[in-house]
Amino acid sequence: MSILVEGRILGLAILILVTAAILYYMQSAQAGKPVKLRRLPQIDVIDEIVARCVEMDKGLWFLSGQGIMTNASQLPGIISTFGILSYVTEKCAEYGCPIHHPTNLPIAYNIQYELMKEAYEVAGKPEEFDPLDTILYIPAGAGRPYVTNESWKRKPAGAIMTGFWYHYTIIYAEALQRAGAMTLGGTDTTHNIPFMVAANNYSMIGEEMYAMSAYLSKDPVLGSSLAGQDVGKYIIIALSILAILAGMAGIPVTSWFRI
Amino acid sequence: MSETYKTTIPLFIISVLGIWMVAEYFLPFLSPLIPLTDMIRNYSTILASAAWGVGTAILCLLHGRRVYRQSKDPFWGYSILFLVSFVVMLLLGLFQGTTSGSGFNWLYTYLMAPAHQALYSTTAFYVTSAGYRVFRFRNLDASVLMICGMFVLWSVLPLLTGFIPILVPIAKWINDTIAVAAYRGFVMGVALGIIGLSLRVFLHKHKEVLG
Repeated sequence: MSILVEGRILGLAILILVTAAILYYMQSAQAGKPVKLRRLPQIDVIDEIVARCVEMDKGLWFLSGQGIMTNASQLPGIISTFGILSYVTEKCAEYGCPIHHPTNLPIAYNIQYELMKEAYEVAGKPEEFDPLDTILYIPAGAGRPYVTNESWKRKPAGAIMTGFWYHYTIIYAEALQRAGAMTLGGTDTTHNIPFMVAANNYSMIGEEMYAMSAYLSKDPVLGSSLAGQDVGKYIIIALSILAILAGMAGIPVTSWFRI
Repeated sequence: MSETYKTTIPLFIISVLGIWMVAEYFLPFLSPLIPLTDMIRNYSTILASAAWGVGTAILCLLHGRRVYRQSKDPFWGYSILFLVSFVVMLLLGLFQGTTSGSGFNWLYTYLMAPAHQALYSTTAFYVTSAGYRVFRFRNLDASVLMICGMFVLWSVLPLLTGFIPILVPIAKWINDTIAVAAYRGFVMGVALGIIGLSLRVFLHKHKEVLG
């Protein structure tokens, strides 16, 4: 019996390299050399949306998508909303802009509640946090009529949509656009990226959302993880180029990459 | 002590089982232990089901309290609706089962499912209005999106493809070449993100995953 499952050697090698890179950057961060993250243009968009809400004296809506935290493929998208939510809430609290967060995430509700409450406390306005309106749990099915109806009634001036999204993306984004909101949308859900890009004023695609969360939360562990993932991307790019060249030379490379 | 029970032990279990699952995928000499792995997976399903039970009990308590304190909440009437629906579905499920022809199945098929489908169908209208707003020659990006989108849309219209059959291969090329290339790059990025998150969870750097 072989030591490794045939056909999975390359996958394991990439996994080990990426893991080693992430661990290296984490170690560096702990040693006082955190990874420097580039400021994404979408962060300025968040500030612009908050400013618009303040100027128009209207609220801001934050929507953190659907999904379930027990699913590994959905978890990164959901986790990445936390850093963004915390930043947006703090900004809103600072400038006196009412934020409304109807969440569809039952398990994440408590975390999001605490994050928002803490953000209000950090801004020095804990009394403005409304536990019944600042954050509200709405089951996913009821979320569609709630968002379409309430956004029309409340007319928010801005909205930020991040996380893992299903087909509701287009319903929510379009409803918010009709209500007159300036929207920023981001997701790592492949089939909903076109909706996010098409229906929102500004968008974040996949990893940009992770990067934004890492940048805004100022968490050195998240930054280290991103740097390690970049190493993985360089490996994949190099392998892709090699595979193309080998394929053009007539070498049967497809079997190497089969998992 | 409570920190140990609430955080340390669950994260330790997650780390051990997570690393175990990864090892089982790559190392064939662990295959004799596959029944054990399957058992662990079954336990995770049972635990998740137990969580549903706890969640349902808490929801019933919450709505029961709202009905009891009716004057404090303007929407307490909806709680009665919830409790009645819950009891009806529960009794039907317990006494008649959930098979075809049972009351539970009937209510689900003719009440729940159409309501969901009606909500789902609204997507079509929102897609249309979003398409109308987006498909414009505003700038280069929007123009490329519009041209590609139009080709793909036209390729699924039999009336049009009958007269202009070349639309089908053009749309197929857009889907199979351009879209797939972008899609694969994106999926690889997300996969790396999942590796990063898993590692952070295994190293107990992400306590949020415990809820």
